[in-house]
Amino acid sequence: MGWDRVIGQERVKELLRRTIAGRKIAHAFLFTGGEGVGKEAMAIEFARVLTCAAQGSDACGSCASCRKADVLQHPNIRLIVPLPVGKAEKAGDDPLKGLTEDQITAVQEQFAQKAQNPYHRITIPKANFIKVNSIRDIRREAALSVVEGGKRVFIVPPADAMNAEASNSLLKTLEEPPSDSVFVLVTSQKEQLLQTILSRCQQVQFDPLGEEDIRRALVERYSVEGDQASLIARLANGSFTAALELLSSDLRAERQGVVQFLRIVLSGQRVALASAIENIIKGGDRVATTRWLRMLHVWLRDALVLREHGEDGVLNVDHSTDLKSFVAKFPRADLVAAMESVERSIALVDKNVYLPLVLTGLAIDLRRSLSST
Amino acid sequence: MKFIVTSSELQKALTKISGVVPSKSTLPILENILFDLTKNTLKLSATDLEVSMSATIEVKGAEDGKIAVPAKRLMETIRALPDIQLVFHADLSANRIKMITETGEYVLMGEASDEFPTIPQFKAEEKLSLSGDLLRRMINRMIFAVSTDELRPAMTGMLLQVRETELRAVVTDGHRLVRINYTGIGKMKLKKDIIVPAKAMSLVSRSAEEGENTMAVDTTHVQFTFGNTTLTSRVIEEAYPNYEAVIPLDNDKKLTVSRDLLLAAVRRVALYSSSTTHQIRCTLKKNELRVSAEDMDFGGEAKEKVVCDYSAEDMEIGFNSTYLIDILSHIDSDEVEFRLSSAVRAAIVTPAKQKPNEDLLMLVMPMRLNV
Amino acid sequence: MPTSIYRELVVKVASKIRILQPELANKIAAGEVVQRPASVVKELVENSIDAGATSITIIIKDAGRSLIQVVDDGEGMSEEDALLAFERHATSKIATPEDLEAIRTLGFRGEALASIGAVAHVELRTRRRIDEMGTVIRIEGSELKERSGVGMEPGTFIAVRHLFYNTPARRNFLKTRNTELKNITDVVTRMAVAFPQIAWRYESDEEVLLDLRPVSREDRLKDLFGERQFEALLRVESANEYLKIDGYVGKPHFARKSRVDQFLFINNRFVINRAINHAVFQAYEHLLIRGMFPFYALNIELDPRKVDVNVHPSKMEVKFENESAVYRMVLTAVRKVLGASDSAPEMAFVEQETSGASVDRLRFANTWQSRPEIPRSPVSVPVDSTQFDLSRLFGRVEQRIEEERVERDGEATYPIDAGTDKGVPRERILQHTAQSATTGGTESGEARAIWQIHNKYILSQVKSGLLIIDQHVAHERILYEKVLSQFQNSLPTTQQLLFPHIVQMSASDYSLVKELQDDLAKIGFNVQLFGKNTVVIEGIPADVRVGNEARILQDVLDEFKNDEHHQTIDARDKLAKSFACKAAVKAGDKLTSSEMLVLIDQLFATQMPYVCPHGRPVMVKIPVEELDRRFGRS
Repeated sequence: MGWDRVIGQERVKELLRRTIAGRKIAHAFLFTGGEGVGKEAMAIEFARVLTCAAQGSDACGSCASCRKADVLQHPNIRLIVPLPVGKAEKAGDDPLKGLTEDQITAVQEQFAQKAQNPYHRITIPKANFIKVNSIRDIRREAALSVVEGGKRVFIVPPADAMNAEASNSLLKTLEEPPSDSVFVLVTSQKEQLLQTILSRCQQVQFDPLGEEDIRRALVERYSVEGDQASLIARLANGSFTAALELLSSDLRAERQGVVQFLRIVLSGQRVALASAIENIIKGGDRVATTRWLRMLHVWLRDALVLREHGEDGVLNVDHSTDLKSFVAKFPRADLVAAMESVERSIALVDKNVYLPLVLTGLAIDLRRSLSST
Repeated sequence: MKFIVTSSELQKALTKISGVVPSKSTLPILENILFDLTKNTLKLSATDLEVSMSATIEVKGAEDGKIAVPAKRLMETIRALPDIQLVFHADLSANRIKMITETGEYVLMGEASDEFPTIPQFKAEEKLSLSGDLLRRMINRMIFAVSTDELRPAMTGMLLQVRETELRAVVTDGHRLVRINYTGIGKMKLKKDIIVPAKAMSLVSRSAEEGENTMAVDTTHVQFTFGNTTLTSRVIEEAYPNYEAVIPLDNDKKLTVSRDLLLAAVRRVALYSSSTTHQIRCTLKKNELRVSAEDMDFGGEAKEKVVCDYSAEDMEIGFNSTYLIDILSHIDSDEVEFRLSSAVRAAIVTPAKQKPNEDLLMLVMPMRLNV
Repeated sequence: MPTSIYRELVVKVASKIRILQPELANKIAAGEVVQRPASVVKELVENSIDAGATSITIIIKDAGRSLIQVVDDGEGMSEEDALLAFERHATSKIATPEDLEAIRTLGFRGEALASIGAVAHVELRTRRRIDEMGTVIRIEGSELKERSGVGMEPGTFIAVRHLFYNTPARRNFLKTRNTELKNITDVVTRMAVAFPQIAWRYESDEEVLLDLRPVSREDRLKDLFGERQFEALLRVESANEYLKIDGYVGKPHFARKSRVDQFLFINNRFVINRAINHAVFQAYEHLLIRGMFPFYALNIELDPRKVDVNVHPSKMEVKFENESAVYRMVLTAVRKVLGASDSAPEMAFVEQETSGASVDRLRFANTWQSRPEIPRSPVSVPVDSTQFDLSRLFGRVEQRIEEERVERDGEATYPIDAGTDKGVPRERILQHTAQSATTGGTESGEARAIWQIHNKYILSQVKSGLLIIDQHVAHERILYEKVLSQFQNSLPTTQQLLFPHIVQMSASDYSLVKELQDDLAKIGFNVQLFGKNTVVIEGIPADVRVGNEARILQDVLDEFKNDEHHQTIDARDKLAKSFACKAAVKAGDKLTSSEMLVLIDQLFATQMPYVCPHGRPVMVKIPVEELDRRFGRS
């Protein structure tokens, strides 16, 4: 049913479904977990069920309420997102007041995109934090009688984007929760929130998505070819948003970079290595570096698969020439050790180790394990 | 959907309700006006989700239907047209609207009517009729003291209490309070308290028409009807502070003074009050009220004597001059009456002579004087 | 100081180097130490100073990319030492702590030379006085290319060419030519201040940027900073029977994001001492934004036996026998000078040649000279209430609603309202105040005006230029001082509340309120303790803005608790700051012209109008000359 719009996360779905069926719905929820695993999508779906006229534990999908919720035009479902600061905006103003025509259009467009794809990451230019006026607006709204019956749901993604003033203002609202209102805070950085806010929310932890979930969603929703879907699913690291970004990025060029890197490592050209490393880390971008390392990992895996099982199951299908020549040239390469080095490097990047050092170390390790005879 | 209407009539109806169309919203559907045609009656509705307004006009209907029409484009078009007849035709499957005049044709894209927020279904639990004069007078006398502090949402609205033959209205911002009781307003069955957002009340004051208007309440909404226009507002569902408890009953020091003289004196003296606190000092002796101010920062001072009627014991009390000016300029009687008790307790201000069927009371908290 | 940074880097890199191959390690180490041309200059110049040079010439081409040349008349090196300077690094293996220790005891200056040799073409010519011939050594990418004798004056000549020629990534990483050159100039300037007894010559692309004779430190400062910049320095002079402090500190706006402009001398000798550093920093306390460091050049004269200069082999770090006494004295002396100065920051300095500015010009006796020439209001404004009504300016929306009603609804006009409120255009009021400025006897005959921009800043004309005031911090400063004086005089103004706020607090907040209750009352809070962690607010300070009252107490308490930067200051001061911060008008609040006038008036009545209690600047002044210069009128 309706919950199917959310990819995977069966445990959370079941939990929320039971919460709704039990009619013991907390005033505030906090959805936590990594980027792009579907917290906002889940929050929207949750809101849709709560506002549905049928009042079941699934959204009926056909009532007027569901139809409005589908396009995020439901008056009782409010998304509180970071907005630009308006011209001459004063405390207590409507958060949209003072925004330019263009900014309003941008906001509306982002909402429309979000309605179309709940995994869309809302990005509004110059919107750096959730304004206190947005939270005040909630208070005003929450004090009023409910418009169309049912529950009123305020979704705050990302809750960690609230500045101190906004956090405190929201805290006061959570302390005296308005009737018929449910707050769903969404964050991937729980530690950024006030302890006092955390303690007032029922916390729901989201897991990273399984590769299979991502792969299937890519195939079914975006008609991605099976091989590419598997590759992206592997690289996405449990995040569907990351998968969508990968889908639109130039994977080919990046993977070419992986091959190039291996060539340099194996040929022992130090100067070239230094500049290759500079290229990979892109001025210290840890997310990009991790993604790159994952690509390297998949590539080594493919080499292993090719060597042990043949071409079936290789993900970098379009690289089969490179893969084959690699396997032929280094038949005794310790690919498992090499993959382990990459895994260690990913862990080091995560632990904030100086990037050039990680990659230099990796290059040495790779050279040793790949050219072992 | 199809009907024929004159542009001037359509414009008149649109003008009545267009005030609630929000200029900026994350819900683009709100930038539309809902057209709903049943036979020869066209109902136009607009809402910002807090206040909804609708107006009905008689048209020459041809085909029933509902569609949401972009308000800005529509208003601009109608305003630019001379007073002529136009044929309004909407293709509901494509949400395409065509307005045809004798010489021209205007096509604009609308939205499906079911995306438009539901205009609240209203089941009146109580209904009373009020004259436009009374509504306007009531609202304009009070709205200055509404709080803007959203942390206390109840006080950002006007409390309306329906009691048998009486209507009571109260506003306060925590420093001042205004209460008006109207008696002799029909006979009501129910006791009913509602808090109406200040914005709705301002719109009511603007829209009220001469003669009879009605006010109706149900559990979640209040509805005002002025002729063929209705205004429906959500109400603030919060507990209003217990205002009756703070209206002192034992203020026995009575001061009667000319409103004009006192207001003028306060205004002059206030120029010399501290620019941040606006504090002025009222010193009361027998039949003499002295208003004085001292500017600590720059060493200026001013005082004025005002003749008055006062016979209780001498006392001194401090006020924020802006509050006093607000209050005095919203009382329309030649003389006002102050009832006081001590320098730190609320002062009651009333007109010396109330209007028939009206009981107006204002309350202002003093500023503790530094001795 | 620079050497210790280098050491840290070596240690940092070394601890991770073992997993790497040695050649790679050298490369990385060189890359880390020699990051940009300025670091090469620094290392080379430090070598020259160590060699006891009395004259140093630095020649730069293409911001150091094609040439960095340093020539000194120092003691020079023997042929063996010169070779060693380049080779040491190449042969060392930094694998154990003992190796590191060895490096440190050998002195690690040479390390830098070796690092430079690894990434550039280096030509070294050096001759000791006792040697008849000098030595020439040419190194390219760590490889020895030439080694021979040469006739030359005693001293050392080093030319570094094609820096980073073999590390294209590093080369590409260099900033623009201007930035790199600026960095080099900073290094040279700093060295020139630190060592006035040395003659310096500094050329870039054949243009002489500095040519300094050996002089006293004071004259060196004058030589280095143009007249305008020199004006940004404040003279410090203080003495007791044990020690004498003498020198200059920069005005707060002269502060930088790094410590490059900090010079301490003991008995005219450049040293490093963290305690004194901290003392100067403390003196600036509120005046500096966090992360900024003040300029100072101070000499402390004292009995040499009371100070130990041999704590560290580099002979730059010192230890005082009675450090806390020296600390206090520096703190007091600097604080005094700063308090007395006009600290309104000025925008952009004009680069000007020095013209023998006398030291006395540094003293800014007249704190008030930059007060805007606008009428004091409301006192000095001739009041005619039939013409305009000041209360209208402070009035709120409700009043306007009322007016609207009056205008629309002719039936219910009130006699007085009709006479005063209607029909007085705002311009009239402005005109009125402007007029009173001219009649009010200010020296210039022109009318003054003030503007608010972006609902954040107030612009005003002052005699010497344009003044820009940050409204929030200005108000913060006013409230802060007001609260402090209320603590003394106990004259609060409290607005009593119709509905007392009952606030349930955490136990810690409750006890904080209990502790501060008397002081809160003096600010204007009428707070009753109700037991069970509940307080009842019956009255609030009259200057708290409407709509703020329910949370102001909690906000003040939170700010009080969070204000960790000022733990040392007493509770009242902290309370005053917290209240000022929370009750002040915010950036974004629209102010009427009369509110702005009041704000400015009150601001200049405070003791320190230039910085807010948290140390942010309140105003920026742009001198007319600066405007003239920018418009090409000079």
